[in-house]
Amino acid sequence: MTENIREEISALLDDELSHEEIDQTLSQLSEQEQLRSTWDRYNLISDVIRGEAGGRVSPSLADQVRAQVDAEPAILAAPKPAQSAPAWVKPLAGTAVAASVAVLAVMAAPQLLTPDAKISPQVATVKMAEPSYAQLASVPPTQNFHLANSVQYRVRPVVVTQPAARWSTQYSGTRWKNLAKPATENRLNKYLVDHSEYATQAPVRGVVPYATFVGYDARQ
Amino acid sequence: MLQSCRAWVGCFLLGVVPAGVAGDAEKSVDAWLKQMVQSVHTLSYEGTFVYLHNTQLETMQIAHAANGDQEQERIFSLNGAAREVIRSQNSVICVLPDAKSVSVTKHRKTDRRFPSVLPVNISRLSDYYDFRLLGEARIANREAVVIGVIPRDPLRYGYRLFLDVNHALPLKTDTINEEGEMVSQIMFTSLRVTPSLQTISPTLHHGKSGYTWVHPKPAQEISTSADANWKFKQLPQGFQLQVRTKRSASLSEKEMEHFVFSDGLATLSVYFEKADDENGLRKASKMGAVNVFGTQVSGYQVTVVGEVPAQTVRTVANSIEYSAVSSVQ
Repeated sequence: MTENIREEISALLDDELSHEEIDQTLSQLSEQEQLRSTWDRYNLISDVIRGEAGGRVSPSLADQVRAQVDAEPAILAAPKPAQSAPAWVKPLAGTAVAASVAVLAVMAAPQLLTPDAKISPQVATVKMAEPSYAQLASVPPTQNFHLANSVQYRVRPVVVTQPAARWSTQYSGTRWKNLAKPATENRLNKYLVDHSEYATQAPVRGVVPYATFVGYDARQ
Repeated sequence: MLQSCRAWVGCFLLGVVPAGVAGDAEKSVDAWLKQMVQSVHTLSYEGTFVYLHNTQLETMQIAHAANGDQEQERIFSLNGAAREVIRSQNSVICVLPDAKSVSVTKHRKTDRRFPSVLPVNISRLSDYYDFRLLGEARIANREAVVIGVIPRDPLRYGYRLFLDVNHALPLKTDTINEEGEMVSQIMFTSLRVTPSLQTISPTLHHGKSGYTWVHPKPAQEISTSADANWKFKQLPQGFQLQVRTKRSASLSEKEMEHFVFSDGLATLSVYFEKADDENGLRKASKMGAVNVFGTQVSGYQVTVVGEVPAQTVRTVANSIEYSAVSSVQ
């Protein structure tokens, strides 16, 4: 990568470029993997400084920058030290890049509702439960830049595995997983209500068990 | 359009660096959690929250009334079936319009259930969780501090708590599994602290005529030190027996024994019933952050229920043994 491009990225972040220069820089960005990682790095730094998660800078900025560096994806840095905290502990790490991508995406395509965490390279370790999500996640970030800046709308591929089951309202409710017998479900519900009474005594508010039950969908 | 884009980029990517965080952030995690526990039980408040678990999204209303040492609470589903749970000192009422039934569970006076709350004992919890102040956020138009509760082993969930800076009420609660994935999120979209709310009016006033009223027989608490026939060989470190109850058989229900274990944050229940039908769970299931695992031991249906990872309920269930010790003392 040339020093020139580095400067342009920096200038872009500092909002110093003209429209033409922005277009040029962004199109270069979207073409070159290495540049993209530089873009990400700048975004990270920028987000960290702004304290993306909290919307403000927290007292231990230096710690957070260090944490951020630890949490950088493989393309940016060596593997993180074994004793570092799990990634979710760092709200900065989890949301920083995603938020920037979100802003870009929202500007050009408000209907783009894909969770940004699935796209962000920062969160590339997130397990994909659904084939459709996996496919969405495999769409490289490049296309987000196209979406955002060149307004090249692209229909994302969506795999619908079981159309009837996935779209029917009959299956959209909250239910126990992989159970078929109403009597078994009924018994689990009783246990759940009973358990919830005790779980609510725990300091971390046990609203969840009741919420789980209240949301339960009894439709067959 | 481009012009506005550019403004946005400038604004969002660069932004304004706000002033440093004021005094509140200096408060210790310990103090925040203690205040949270206190507030959740002693304040009156009403609010609406969304509850996301896996890909399922629910909206619910909560009203909590505190009046001296009396507490009442209602959780009401705003989508799907209009389910409702009303808790008070003496009872838990579940209104299930979809099942056309109302279940009323009375507590016995001796029960040390709601509203007793386990105190936050950070020093004890520190053996199993790491507590960290993560920063600040804004939820439901309120300023919040963010606290991370990080488990030290994969047998319990982690939590990220967003506490209102004024009252320490949890505005958002993320439950995070051993893979680092969020298994559930609860986030208030509006929350009002309403000191004037002192009682919660029952909603069982109309339209419930065709309902079946169910009055489950209350369980009786047994001394936790009494001999049990059940041996728990593999409980995660720190999980201690909190409560043990027994419900004798009735016309509609079988005898049931219930053990509650907790590490101080997470709670795990183990239920024992005679296995005399085909309806007992013989595998893993889950709903939201709640995992269950069922198995059969010595002719009993054993079901473990808890807000803990799937691995934990399975390990506990599979480690349970029956030993013929007389449980009657």
